Amino acid sequence: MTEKEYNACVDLYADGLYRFLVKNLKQEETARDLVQVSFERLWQNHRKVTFEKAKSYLFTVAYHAMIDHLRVSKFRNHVSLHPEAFVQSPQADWEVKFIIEKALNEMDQVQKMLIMLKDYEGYRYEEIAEITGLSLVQVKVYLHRARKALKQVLEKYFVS
Amino acid sequence: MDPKRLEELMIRAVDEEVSDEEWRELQEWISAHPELHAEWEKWKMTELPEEIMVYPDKHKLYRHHHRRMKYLYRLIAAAACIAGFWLIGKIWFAESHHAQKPVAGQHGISLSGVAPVSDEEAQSSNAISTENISRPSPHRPQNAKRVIRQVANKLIPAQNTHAIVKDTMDQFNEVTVNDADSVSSQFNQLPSLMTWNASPDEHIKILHAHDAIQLDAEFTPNKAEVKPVLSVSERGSAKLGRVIFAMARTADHAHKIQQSLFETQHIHIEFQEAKH
Repeated sequence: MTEKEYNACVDLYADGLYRFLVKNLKQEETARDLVQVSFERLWQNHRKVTFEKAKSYLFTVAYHAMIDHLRVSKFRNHVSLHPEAFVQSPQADWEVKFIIEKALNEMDQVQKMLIMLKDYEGYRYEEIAEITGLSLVQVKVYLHRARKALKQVLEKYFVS
Repeated sequence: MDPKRLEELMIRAVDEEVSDEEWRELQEWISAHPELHAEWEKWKMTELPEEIMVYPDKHKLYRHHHRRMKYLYRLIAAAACIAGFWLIGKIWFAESHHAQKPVAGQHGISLSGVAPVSDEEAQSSNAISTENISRPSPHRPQNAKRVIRQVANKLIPAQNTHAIVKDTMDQFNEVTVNDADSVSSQFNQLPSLMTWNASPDEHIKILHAHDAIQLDAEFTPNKAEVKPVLSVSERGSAKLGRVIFAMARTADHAHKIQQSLFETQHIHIEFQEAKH
């Protein structure tokens, strides 16, 4: 990868990577650091990593860095859902967003990461398996469970 | 359709991981069962809504290796230019100096002046001759006569004045002069001397192009306290590299002049025995 391609990667993927990390960690400072670490690693290996593989490489590095960080800090963000916040039906996008945000925070960390890689970054199952080091079956199972969990929360809030 | 398969199909459809055939099958099945519309909508809601975030420190991530290298190359080029100029200057100066360096017995002005002031001093009275390291100049001094006369009158007693002027550069033979006027006339003919100028009492300036050497003449009438009659500023002598004319009443004073004022390697002072 050339320097120009690397800089293009910054333009293309820094925001997505940052979003992925912030949403998972809920710590902007840590997320910034990990973005920087990921791109630093990419630059160190820019001769080996092709431009086409750069995004996967970045997310792989970020994912593992985040796992390490979570292991060390034993970070677990519990945001309880309040039944009084129930609404009868989603009134606006921000409501859905709010509920999903809360649901995500209650979700298992791996499921949360996988669903973000899927929905925010649009990775396919195989790619997610490659990034996370999980098997294809595990990825499918985790994502299945994540969707079911989200649906259950949504059903709880938005009684139709 | 099996409910488990339907659920799995719907989840994979949300994940956009179904084939075209599976997608058609699902659409047909939902169309055939309107009660599944709501279910399908719920599954679709599990897709995370788009959320845009901007990484604030993107500028820190960019790499500008080439730009840095360009800057470095420019810096190196500038340093090379400076070094080149310095080197050329040094070589030019060395060659110039080498070209001016006199060959023994060929280029040089020798002035021996003896002014026997007393019996004690007569024994050690000396004149200092400096080697000429300048280029020969076609110029003739315009006011040399006047100045030299002043200096000579001041520094060399009119009585018993005896000086030998020798300019090997112009193949001058040794010339003996007996008074101040003669000394000045001989100096007047030295082509290697450009212009002599002196303030009335204490200073002589040797002007060479735009450079100047300041000669501070100090004359002490009291013979018991004889001091070097001429001194030359080190800056002037080093810069000009020109004939330095100095006279001392004693060898000791001549040495003092040399030690204190002619410490550059470009100037060589010879001490000659006084001739009576």
